Amino acid sequence: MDVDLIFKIAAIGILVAVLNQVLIRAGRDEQAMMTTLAGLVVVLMMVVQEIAALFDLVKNLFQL
Amino acid sequence: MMEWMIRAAVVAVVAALLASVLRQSVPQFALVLTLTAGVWLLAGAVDSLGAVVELINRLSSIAGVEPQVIQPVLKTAAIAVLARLTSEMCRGAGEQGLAAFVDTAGTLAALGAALPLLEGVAELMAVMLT
Repeated sequence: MDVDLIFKIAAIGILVAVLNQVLIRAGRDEQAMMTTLAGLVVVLMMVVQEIAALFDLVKNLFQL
Repeated sequence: MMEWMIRAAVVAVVAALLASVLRQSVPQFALVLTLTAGVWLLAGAVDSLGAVVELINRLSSIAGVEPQVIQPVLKTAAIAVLARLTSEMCRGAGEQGLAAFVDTAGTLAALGAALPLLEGVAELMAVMLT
């Protein structure tokens, strides 16, 4: 797994945080929440693959 | 190993900094960031763990212990580590109740994984006592 993934997630998080603040100040609270949810879904899809790869690695290593 | 540990320490500190920045506005992302950094650290540590497991297997074969005896021990250790990490992540997200459920589930799963060992011991004692 690459270290870049951590920085990508941090960058997406900061982007979502900025968009969140902009939308809340514009009075669009529900759109702010949808943006946060969309960002979370994107990030989770990236992370879940890595978690699955880690579990496969551990299973093959221990022959569990 | 030393170089990797230094890299891991730097990555962990940077990830903690970024997570603290994100926690103020979008705390959910801080949790995912922590999870990702943790997965990266585990993936790097698993390499050295392979050598340890191989040593355990070799020692058990020298001692004349069957590999079926070592498997439940390794499974129980893996379940304990996984349950602990997951419950700490839940506590970090503010879900102490969920963390307690994960702890209980981990205890039961570890008991279930150690069951073959206990059965073997019970049979051995039955053979010795009769």
